[in-house]
Amino acid sequence: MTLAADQVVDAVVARLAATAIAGARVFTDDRPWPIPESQLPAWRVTALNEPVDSLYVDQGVSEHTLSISCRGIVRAVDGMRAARGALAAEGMASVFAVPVPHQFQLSEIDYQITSEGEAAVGAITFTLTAKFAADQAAPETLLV
Amino acid sequence: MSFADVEARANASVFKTLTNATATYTPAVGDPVSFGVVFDPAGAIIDDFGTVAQQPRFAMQPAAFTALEEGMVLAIRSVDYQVRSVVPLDEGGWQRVTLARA
Repeated sequence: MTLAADQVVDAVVARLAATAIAGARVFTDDRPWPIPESQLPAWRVTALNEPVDSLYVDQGVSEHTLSISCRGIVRAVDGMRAARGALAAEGMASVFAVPVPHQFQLSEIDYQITSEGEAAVGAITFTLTAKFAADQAAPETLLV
Repeated sequence: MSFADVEARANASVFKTLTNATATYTPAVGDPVSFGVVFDPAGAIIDDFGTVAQQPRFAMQPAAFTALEEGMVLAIRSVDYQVRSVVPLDEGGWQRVTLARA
């Protein structure tokens, strides 16, 4: 079993893995070691934080708002913006395709490049929030 | 003999000894230009994205090809590379050229 939050992350991973550009190269915290350039383009999906609000007085069921970071990484010697944009557009279209599970809501987009190495790697990170309910005494059970 | 002369002789000797590859630039018009370089094709780093990024590069004496500049495509050991940066070092006695596989 996994925490409810990880199950929600897995739902994001499944949607990204269904895309064509990066394909199955969607990595989570289960693979924290570096990604070779040969495996780009790729996504790295990470749970960021999870504020919890109590739903009912004297009950353990709470509403969780989970922030999830989806970083798409590409290698492009020329045309970085186009390559990065294509990856992000496809990824976001898949993650937010209706019906949207767990009230996925886009909250931020960040753009990054590096001048290290070949200066040919860039990334785009979109952050989303997901809402779900879970009992604090049964954190592996995703209620909604 | 001035210090600059000694330095130039030392650099010339080093590059004569260590040169391990030939870089060839083929212009749109005119003949190809070839020059010797000290080539390191296998360098790599782990960048800010957690990616193992290749870092092919070479060192050369600037006088070997004074027209070298960012964006040029060079053939080295049958592989095309784009010049990403040219960094003068040692008071211009030699320079480090960072590449990207084209």
